[in-house]
Amino acid sequence: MNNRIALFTYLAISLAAGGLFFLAATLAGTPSLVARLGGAGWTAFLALIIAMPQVVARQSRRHRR
Amino acid sequence: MMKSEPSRKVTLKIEGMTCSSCVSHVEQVLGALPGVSKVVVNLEVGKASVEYQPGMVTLQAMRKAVEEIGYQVLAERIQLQIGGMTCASCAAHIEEAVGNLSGVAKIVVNLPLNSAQLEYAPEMTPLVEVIHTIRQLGYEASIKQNGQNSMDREQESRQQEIRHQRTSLIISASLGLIIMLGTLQPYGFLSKILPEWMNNKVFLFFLTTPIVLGPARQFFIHAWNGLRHGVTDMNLLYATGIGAAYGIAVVNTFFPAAGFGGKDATFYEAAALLTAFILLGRYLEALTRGRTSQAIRRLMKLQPKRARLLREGLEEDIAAEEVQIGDILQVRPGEAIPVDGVVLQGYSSVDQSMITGESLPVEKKAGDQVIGATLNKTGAFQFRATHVGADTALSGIIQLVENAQTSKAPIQKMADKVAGSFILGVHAISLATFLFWFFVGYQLWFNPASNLMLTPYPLTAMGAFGFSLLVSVTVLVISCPCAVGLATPSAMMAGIGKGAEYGIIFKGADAVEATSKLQTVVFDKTGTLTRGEPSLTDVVVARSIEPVEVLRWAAMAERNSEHPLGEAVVRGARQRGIEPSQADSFETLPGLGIVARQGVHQVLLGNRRLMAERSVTVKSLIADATRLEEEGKTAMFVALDGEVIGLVALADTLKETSVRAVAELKRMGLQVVMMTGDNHRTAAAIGRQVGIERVLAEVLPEDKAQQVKKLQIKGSKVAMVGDGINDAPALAQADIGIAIGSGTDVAKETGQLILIRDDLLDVVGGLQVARATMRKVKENLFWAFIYNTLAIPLGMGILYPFLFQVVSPELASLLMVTSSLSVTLNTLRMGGFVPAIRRGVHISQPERHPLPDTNARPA
Repeated sequence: MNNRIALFTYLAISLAAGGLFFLAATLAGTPSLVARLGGAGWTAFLALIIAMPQVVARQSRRHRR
Repeated sequence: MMKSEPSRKVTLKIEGMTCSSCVSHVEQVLGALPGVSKVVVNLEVGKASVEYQPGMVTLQAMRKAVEEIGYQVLAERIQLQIGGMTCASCAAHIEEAVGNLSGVAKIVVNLPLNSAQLEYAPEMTPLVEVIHTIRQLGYEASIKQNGQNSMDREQESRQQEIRHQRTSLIISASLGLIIMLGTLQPYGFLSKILPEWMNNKVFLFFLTTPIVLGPARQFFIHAWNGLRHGVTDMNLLYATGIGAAYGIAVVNTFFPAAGFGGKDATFYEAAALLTAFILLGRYLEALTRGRTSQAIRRLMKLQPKRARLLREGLEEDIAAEEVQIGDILQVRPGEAIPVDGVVLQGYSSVDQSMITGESLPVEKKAGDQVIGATLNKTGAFQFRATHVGADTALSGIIQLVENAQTSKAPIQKMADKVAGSFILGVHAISLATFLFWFFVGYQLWFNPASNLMLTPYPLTAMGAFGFSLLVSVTVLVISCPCAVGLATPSAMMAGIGKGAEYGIIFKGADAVEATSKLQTVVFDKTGTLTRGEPSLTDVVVARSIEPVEVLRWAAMAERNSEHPLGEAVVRGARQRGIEPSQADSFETLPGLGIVARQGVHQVLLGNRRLMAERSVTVKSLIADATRLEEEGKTAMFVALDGEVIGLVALADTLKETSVRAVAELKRMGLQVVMMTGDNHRTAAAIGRQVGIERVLAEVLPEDKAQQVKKLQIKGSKVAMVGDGINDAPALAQADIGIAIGSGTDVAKETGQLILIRDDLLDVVGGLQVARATMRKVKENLFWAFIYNTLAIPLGMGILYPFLFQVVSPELASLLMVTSSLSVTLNTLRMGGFVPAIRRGVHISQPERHPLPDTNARPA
C-alpha cells in the first residue's frame, strides 16, 4: 500500500516536471518536436531520480511512525 | 476493514536497573511507544519482555526511549563480511537499507575492511533478513569469522573483486580503444592509416553494446537496487551517464532523422571510455584499499600455528588452537610463543616489539608473563598457558583494533552526510544545467565550430537538446562524492592501525578525533608519573664517614623488614652494589623506626622521635632533613652506637620518561596538570621535578572525576592519564581517558586510548598519531572538496562562452577517477609515518631525573 503511494507520488512529480518542460519549451518557441519530447523525457527522468529516494524515505518514515 | 498483523514479542536486555522504580520507569517509557501493547520488566535478569505490533515500532525507538531515561539496551552484536562494495556510497547505501529494518539498532559499515558491525534484536529481525536485504541491494553478505579464517575469506573476497574489476577493465578498455579510434578515423592522420568502415556507426554499436551489457551492467543493477530502496549512490550517476550517452548514440545511429544530432553526434566512445575509466578507478581502488588495513593483517599473521606441548615429560607438536589453559609448553630459541602464559622454568629474552612496540628484547625468567605471538630470542623455557584462543592478548588487540576501525568519527558522519546528499544535489545541478543550456545558453553561445575538450571533431550537428544533454551528462559523471566518502575512513583505518603498531590502541575513530583536539592532559601522580613505590633518593652523612657506610648500616638494619620503606632502603643499597649483612637481632618500633644489633654495634633507623627517645642528637642534620621533607621525601636518621652518622631519604621517584613526556606535551601546546592525593608541599615538589606547574593536590580518589569535570566546564578538552583501574571514574569523565601500562589486557580497560607499555612517551605518541591521522583526514577532505568545487562548474560548461570548449563525458570520468585515487594514494603515505617521539625528534631533556648528590655534606 505504502509502496503504491510512493510510486504514484514520485511518478506524478516526474511526469509533472516533464510536462512543465514540454510546455515551457513550446512557449519558448522550440521548433523541433523531438527536442521538446527528448527534453521533457530527460527532465522527467532526472526529476524521477531526485524525487524517488525522497518520497520512498519519507513514506517509510511515516509508516514507521 | 484493515486486517492487523498478530502482535509479536521481543526480549530486550536492559543494563543499569537497580531497583523497582527503575523497572517502572522502563515499563512506562516502553509502554508509551506507539505499537507497544505490553511490557514486563524483570529486574533480576535485567530483561524487558515487550509485546509489540510489527511495523509500528522499531528497536531503535525502544532503545532511544530507554536510553533517554538513563539505561542501556544491549542488542546482539555481530560482524558481517560484505562483498561487492566499491565506494563510500555503497556503505551508506547498506547502512540506510539495513538501518530501516525494525529490529536493527545500529549498523556501521566499514568499506576498507569490507565488513559491518551490526547491533540488532534477532527476534524482531532475524539475521537472515539482514543478509537478504544486503543481497537484494546487490552485495554479498555473510557472518564474519574471527582470526585467520576471517583474514583468508577477506583476502579471497578482495582477490575476487580485483579479478572481476580487472577482467571488466580489460574488456571495456580494449573495446573502448577501438571505438575511440573508429570515432576519430575521419580526422587527421588517422584517416590515412585506418579503414573507413571503422567509423561505421553500426560497427561502433556492435562494439559498444557488449561493454554496456557486460562490464557496465553492474552500475545499472546497483543503481536500480538502490532506487528501489529509496537510496541513491554513485552507481546511479554512472548508470545515468553511460545510459544517456549510449541511448543517444543508438537513436542517432538507427534513427538519424529523429533530431538528436544525427549520425555525426553519436557518443559510443563516451559510453565505452566512461565505463573503462570508472572501472580503472574501481580496479585501482580495489588494489589499494586493502593496504590501509595492513596493520591488522600483520597482527593476524603473527598468530603462531604450532605449539610444543609437554606431556609426561615428552614433547608433542600440536596446533596452537588446541592448547588448553594449564598446558605446559616448551619454547625453543627462535620460536614464536604460541599463547599467553607464565614462565615456569628457563631463562630467555623475548622480542615483544610486535605487540608492545618495545624495541629491545625483554628478559623472561620463572614467574614472568609471556605474550603469545612474541618471539623467543636466546634461551629455551617452559611456561604454563594462561590465556588461549580468543582470550589471548593478540586476539584482544585484534578485536579492539577491528572494532575501532569499524567505528565512525564525528567528522566522518558529517562527510557521509555530505556524500549522501551529494548524489541528489548532483542530479539537481545536472537538471538545472540542462534547463539552462536548453533555454538560454545554447541560443546565446553555441558555436557549431566548437568541439569537445581534447578532441578534434566539432559539435556541428548538435541541436539544443543534444548539446544540453551532453553537458548535463558530463555534470553527472564529473561529480564524485566517492572521494569525499573515502577521505575519512581510509585515513582513520591507517591511523588506528599505525597506533596499534606502537602499542597505542585507540578504541574508536571518535577517540582519534577527540585525542587530536585535546588541550589539557591531566596525569595521575602515583603509578603514572611516578613509579608508585618508594625508592632511595638521598644519603646524607653527618661526619667523616663514607655515604656507602651509612647505607650499609641502614640496609643491615632493614634487611628483614617487610615495611615498604625498609624494602626500599635494602633495594637502594643493592642497586649501589652493597649486599646487606645479616643483623643478629632486630625490632620494629611502630611509628618510630627500627632497632637492630650486629655484634657489639647497635643501629637505630627512624624519625626524629625515635632519636629523641634514645637521646641521640640530630641537630647537625635537621636542616637537611627539613629540606628533603620539603622536596616531598621521607627522611630517616641513621644512628650507630648512640651517635647519628647520617640520614637516608626515600621518595616515590619519577618514571624514566616522565620529564621528557611532560616537556614534549607542553611543546605541543598542551596544558599539563598533575593530580594527586599528596599534600600541597609534596605535590608541588614532585610537580617541580617533572616540570608541571599546575598541580591539583589533596584530591581524594573519589574526587578525581570531579576535578576533571571542573577543567571541562572551563571549556578545555581534557585527557586523563591513569592506570585504568583506580582512576576509572576520572578516565570515564575525561574527553579521552588514557589507560597507561595496561599490559596486554587491553579489552578490560576503561579508557578510550589504551597504552600497552608503561611508558609516558606513548601518551605523546598517541597524540602525534591522532594529530597526523586527523591531518590526513583534513587533507583528503580538502582534495575531495576542492576537486568537486572546481570540476562541477567545469562540467557545467562554464568555460564554453569564453573558450568554446566543453568537457566530454569520458574526460569527466578520467578526472573523477583521478580524484578518488588522489585520496587513496594520499592515505597510503600514512604507511611510512613514525610518531616523532619514536623517531627521536624531541627537545633536549634529561632522560632521567637524577638522584641528588649522595656525597654532599650539608653546610
